[in-house]
Amino acid sequence: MKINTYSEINQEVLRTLFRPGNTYYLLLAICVTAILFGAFCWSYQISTGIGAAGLMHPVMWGIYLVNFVFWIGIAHSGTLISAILYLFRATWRTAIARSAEAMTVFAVMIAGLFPIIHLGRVWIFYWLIPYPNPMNLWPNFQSPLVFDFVAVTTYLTVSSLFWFTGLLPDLAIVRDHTRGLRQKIYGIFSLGWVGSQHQWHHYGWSYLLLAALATPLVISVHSVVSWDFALSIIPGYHSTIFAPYFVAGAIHSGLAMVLTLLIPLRRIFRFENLITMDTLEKIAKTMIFTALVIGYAYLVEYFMAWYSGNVFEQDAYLWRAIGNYAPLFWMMILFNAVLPLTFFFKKVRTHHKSLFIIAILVNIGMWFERFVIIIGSMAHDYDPYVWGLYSPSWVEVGIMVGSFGLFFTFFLLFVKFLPSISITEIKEEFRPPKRMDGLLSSAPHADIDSKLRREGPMNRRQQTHKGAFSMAGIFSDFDDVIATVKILKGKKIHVETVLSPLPRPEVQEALSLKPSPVRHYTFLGGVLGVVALLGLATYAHLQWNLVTSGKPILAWIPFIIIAFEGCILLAVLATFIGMIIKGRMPRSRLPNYYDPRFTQDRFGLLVFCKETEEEEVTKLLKDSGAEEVKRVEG
Amino acid sequence: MALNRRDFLKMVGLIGTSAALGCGSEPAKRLIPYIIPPEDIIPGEATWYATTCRECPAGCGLLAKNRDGHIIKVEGNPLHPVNQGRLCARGQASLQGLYNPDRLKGPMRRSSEGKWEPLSWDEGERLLIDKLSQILKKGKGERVVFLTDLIKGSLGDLVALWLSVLGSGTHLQYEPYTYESLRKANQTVFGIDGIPTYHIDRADFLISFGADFLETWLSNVEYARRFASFRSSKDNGRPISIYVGPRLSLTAANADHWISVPPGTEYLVALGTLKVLLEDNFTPTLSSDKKSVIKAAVENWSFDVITAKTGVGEQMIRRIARKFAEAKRPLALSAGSTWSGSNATETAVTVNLLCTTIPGTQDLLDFESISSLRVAATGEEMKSLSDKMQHGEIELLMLSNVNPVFSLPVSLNFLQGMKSVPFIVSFSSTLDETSRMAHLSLPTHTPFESWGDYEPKRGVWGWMQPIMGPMFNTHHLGDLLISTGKQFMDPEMFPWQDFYHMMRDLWRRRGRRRGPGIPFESFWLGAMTKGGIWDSKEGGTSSLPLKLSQYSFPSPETVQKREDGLHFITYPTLQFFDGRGANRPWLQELPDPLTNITWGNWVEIHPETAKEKGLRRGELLSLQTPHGSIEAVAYLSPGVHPDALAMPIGQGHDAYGRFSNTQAPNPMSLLSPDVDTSSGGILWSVSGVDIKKLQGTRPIPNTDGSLFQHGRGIAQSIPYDHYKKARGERQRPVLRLPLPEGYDAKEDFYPPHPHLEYRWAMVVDLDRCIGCEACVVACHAENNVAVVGKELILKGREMSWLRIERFFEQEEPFVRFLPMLCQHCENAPCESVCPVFAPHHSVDGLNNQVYNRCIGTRYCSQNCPYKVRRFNWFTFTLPEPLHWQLNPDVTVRQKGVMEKCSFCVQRIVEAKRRAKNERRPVKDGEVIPACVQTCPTDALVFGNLKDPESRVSQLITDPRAYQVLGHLNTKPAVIYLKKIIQRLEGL
Repeated sequence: MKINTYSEINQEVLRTLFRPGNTYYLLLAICVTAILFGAFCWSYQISTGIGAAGLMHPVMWGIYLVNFVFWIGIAHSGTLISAILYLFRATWRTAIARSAEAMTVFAVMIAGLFPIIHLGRVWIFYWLIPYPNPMNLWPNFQSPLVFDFVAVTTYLTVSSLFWFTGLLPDLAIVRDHTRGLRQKIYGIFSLGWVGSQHQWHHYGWSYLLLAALATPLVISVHSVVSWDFALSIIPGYHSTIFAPYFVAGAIHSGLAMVLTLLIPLRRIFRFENLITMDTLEKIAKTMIFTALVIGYAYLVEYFMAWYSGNVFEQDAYLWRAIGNYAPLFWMMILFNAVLPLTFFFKKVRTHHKSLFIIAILVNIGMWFERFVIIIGSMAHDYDPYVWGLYSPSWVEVGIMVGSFGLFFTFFLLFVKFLPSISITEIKEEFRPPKRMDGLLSSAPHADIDSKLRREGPMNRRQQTHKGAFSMAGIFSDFDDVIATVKILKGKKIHVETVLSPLPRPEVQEALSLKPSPVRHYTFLGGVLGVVALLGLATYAHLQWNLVTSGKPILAWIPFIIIAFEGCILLAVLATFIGMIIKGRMPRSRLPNYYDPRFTQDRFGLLVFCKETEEEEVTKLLKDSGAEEVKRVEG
Repeated sequence: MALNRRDFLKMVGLIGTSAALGCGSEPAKRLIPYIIPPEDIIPGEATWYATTCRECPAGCGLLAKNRDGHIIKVEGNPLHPVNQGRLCARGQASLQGLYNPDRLKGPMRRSSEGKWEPLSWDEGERLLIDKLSQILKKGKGERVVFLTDLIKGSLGDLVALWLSVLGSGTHLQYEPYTYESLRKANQTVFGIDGIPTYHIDRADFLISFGADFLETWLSNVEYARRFASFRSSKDNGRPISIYVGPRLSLTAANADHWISVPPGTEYLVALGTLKVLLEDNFTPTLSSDKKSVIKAAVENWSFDVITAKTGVGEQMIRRIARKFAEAKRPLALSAGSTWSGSNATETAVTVNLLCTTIPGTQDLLDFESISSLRVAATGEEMKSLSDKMQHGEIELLMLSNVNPVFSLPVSLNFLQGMKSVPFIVSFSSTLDETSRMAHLSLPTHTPFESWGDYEPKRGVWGWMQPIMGPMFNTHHLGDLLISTGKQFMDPEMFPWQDFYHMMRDLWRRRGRRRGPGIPFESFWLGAMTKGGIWDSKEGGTSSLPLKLSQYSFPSPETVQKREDGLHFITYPTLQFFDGRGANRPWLQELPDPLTNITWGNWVEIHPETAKEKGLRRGELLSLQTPHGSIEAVAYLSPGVHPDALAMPIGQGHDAYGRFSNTQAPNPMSLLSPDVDTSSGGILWSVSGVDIKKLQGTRPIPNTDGSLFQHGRGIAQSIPYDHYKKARGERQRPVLRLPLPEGYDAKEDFYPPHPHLEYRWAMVVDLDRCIGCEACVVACHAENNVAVVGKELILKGREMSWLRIERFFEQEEPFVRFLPMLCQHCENAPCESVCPVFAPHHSVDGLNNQVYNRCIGTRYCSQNCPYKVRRFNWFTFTLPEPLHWQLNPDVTVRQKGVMEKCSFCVQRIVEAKRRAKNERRPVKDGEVIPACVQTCPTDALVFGNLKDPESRVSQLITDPRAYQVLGHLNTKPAVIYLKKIIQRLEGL
């Protein structure tokens, strides 16, 4: 179906929010069962001891951490698509950014669970958190696991906020398309978004800043994850290439997961016109790049092992290729570095079946990669006397199955309850044909609209408020709005704002808005983050005054990592708060001038008037093409 | 149950919290208050009492640590002449006999249906007396047999008295390994029936023909010490040791050369050596009559025959002979009873002849300190007892701490014999294979609860005293005999109140042991405090006679040809001895020193033989001899002669307690009922074994990940010549010391951190370490290290803080042992990776692990290059009353917590506190970790590196010093001294 109007975009995307089929419920039931099984396995493990897992000496880290790295990796491409491609103005991201971001948030949540599941004494996991306590017990800020904790927490916070920020206008759309309790809930989460150009202005700045902050963060997070290994001295772990190698691997696996999720989604919901084959092809092309990067990393590891002349390194890498876990190693090479190269052929990268199969295989291959690194290196490290082989127990497999259940449950709920494609961004990309009233008019509303449309809240309030007032004109054509603004400005009549379903820089220009002050919030937050985390780490280490690994009490290098994460975290929080404050949110009630059509396809022009000007303004608005002109009290 | 509101809320709170947390530490169950405090017990203060180890006939001196009324640790008595403060693994584990959960709790009678019914001691004694009077009335007093372990001492005297008052009866002191062939050979060659003390330490060349003196032979702690002293290089070089035998035993692994020969042909090598000595006139001092005796023995043998039978070339024998002759005090040892088969006596006689050739050797045989094993029952006596029982000639059998049903060859039919005995009384403290056949069980005290004395060899009396009150409702055997004797026999003959008074009385009479003028009370207290009575000097025997009149050597023609089929040899292990250690979980979990297998047994097969028969590791085999058959697991090992199958003794219990039940076969099922015709000893090997592969495999619970070092230089060695040169040139080893001076700006990113007064460190001399693993058990005992069991060993989850790594080499010596424990690195990789500071560095340089703080990320273990950290996969618990042994100074860890060697930090703290009270620094040697304390060979030395005078500071200047994985620059504080390699040219 070809989309012709803004309202059709709304209808097209919001369709998934209503009336799911039986398949949906079946899938949900399967996923929830998986979660329950995983939960049972975890409970069993907690009650008997971590020995319920297949872990052993010397392989103390098993598939829990494989899953941790795997899920963190999955998370990464979400941020890549939504933030990095946003900064690069790659417009093909539009249709997939929302679900990729959702994938990020869910994957980080699940990834964050695994290090906790993996703890021997999970009931005191909160000792990892630097919280003030009467015993003055603090974590060791030199530990890569504390970097991890800070990085993953930051990442979860940032990706959630970024996702939520992107969702705000869409939540308002859903609010305006629902009623009753659902409307209330969506209303609360939309924070009273009205779509005024001022909001759009701060929103745009914030979104850009968040994207700019998320980009270094995403690179730092997987670097930090790689440092869990690279900072240790085990052959197979101890490597400077790990950070870029892990980041590339993360993006590789994340892109594969995006394909894994989107291809069925696109098919089930018939989103072919939004998520086009062109988009999928672009993902596949990116995967060629990431496959080459990790293929290179695999080769470099071997080169370094050979070139080092170090018997331990050489043996570790030789064993990978010919030892007990060699089948996994070769599958890893094949699936991750070789198979995606078939995307060089256009036929392979433009057919949904081949795309889907290769994406699944890359997911498996990337899981194996983490297994080979994490477990393979430990099983065969320095002292031959303690070499040993690990295989996961049913408990570990059960928890892993549960984690997949949890992920897909989250995703299923997401497509059911939230617009899985960014309506606003699609609208931004979409240029409706000009002056074709027949098409633009909302007279013959589509099914959903007619069912959901009802009296907006403003109509009721209109009657109750008296006193100062403003005039609101509702336009269907955007060019008329700009023209009107210009006329009004010429007449020195104050234009309060323009409400629109999408941001329009032209209007912001016409309204002569200054650069948003949100950026000052960001700066202050960033500075505060650095100072706070450096201060906390310094304080904690001076309090304890314990030497670890022969390092000085205040070893500044590890603190930089902590300070960096703190910088991003507080900058992002400050940006978000800045946007909320500057955008006059949250609002519990929508203003009287608001009309639900503003989130669909109509533009509102709000003009403050004196009694004397009422007639003039009304006339002016009507003449400029306003479909409707209302007097709004209050 | 009445429940008030307050209790209800408490319970709800407790249940709710525990349900929410899912776990948490167990609440303390009960406290035992002293209403009237005992005099010598100060809560929290330990007291050490001297006693004697009765785990084997060696009779080492013990010090038992009593704290708050029970024993928590035993250590060697430093004053005792046998072990000089050291203990073996079995000695360290002796407490698990005292606290064994399967000990009998009180007297019992077996009903006609075969059920055990408890009864009171009075009833029990009455039953015994009734039975005795019935037998005496019938005039069958001589049909009473009292079978005990070797109890040479007051208790032995009492048994003899008791039997003599009874009028008749036999007292047999049964020990499975009594070295009849050695006794016979000494009788033959020297005219002395007995086993001397061998001064291995004074020898300068040692050749052992199957004598495993580092494991079980005679007195393993004593000989391990003497061996280490023998080998520590002397002024005129480092003496060479050679081992001739079919199996790479621990002793063979520690010799410079292992000469592998088919079982039973060891003596041919000795004979060949003797032949060379005589023919090449290496022994000019030998008198002509001696020469003629030797000539008669060797003249029939040609080197061709010897080589054909043993596979040892003439050149090699000539070199051995030359080395033997060049030595001033060469010593040859023979096995006696272990695995030698029908040629055991020949071996022993030939070896004795060797010992007579060089005059200096005579100083090494101390027939003054003759072993008490001479009074033990021979295999022949046991066989005849078995026969008598089967013929119904025994009316009453009394058993005390013996298990012949298990430890004698099954084909001897001891079990069937016991079934024909009308009444059997057992005084053993467990229900083993033998005592469960009893009709009446009157369990007696273990040695830790008893008064007593024991004379392991002439002139050495080890005394025993009760270190704690009886655990269960048991009685002292002596008390029981006195009480029954009084009631049933002549009260005049038993004038003592109990055994304690009798022992005092006997010692009052053995006045010669007392110096003149010393009052008895001070003598008694002095001896009790010291742990016994002994002469401090060690003697030799000058000019041993050489008689060799009534012994005729078999000629080559009469020596039967090697039979087809394989020889099956059994050997006692240092963990289990004859199997009596099998119910001690520490010993079950202790990896075998060479195979590193725990909780079970195996058949060692040479890889070539296995290939021939198509056998692989772990496969289930059926072994069959004319005397029986067993199913056992195959273990491929180049450490056994291709013609031999070897199997350790000790497993295969079907009684004796929960820990001994390892579902393993008992090799005794395969042995022949015959005894050695010349010495009367049991034959511990059998030829002509049929071997068949069965369906299926069994997982082998071993603790080693690889047999080899893979060129990684973990356990390093140095040829003796290089070492001599380096020492001569005063070369200093390249070490990255865990001290500020160990830092180098080129290699170290961060500056050094200072240590105030102490920097604790350990030096491990790999040339002294024999891999006996006594330290491993000592560590378990001291540090409450958990025992995990077979299933978890199979999963690779052993908890041992200290392990002896065993690596095989391509060249001799084939085996390297390396004790691996926490290295307490200066730049410990484990520390900074922990998110919660659970591991961190102390100012004394210790790598501390705070269990309470550990949340179980296990990163520290991941990042430890030595992999010495152990994780509590579960909360490991001990069945009652084994937990009485736990050391209250050391936290018992719960699930989810990492643990590791602490250098026995509790001992360091104690020493520092003591030093602080006395306002002085801790002295060198004042802190002795448990592993160091027990090491029979002094391979481990602990001390303060900050003190330039300390032993560790001295030792690390040795050119042999190195650090394992030193290139990682973790600056480990455990510094190893390389093993010295010395090869006899051409071997």
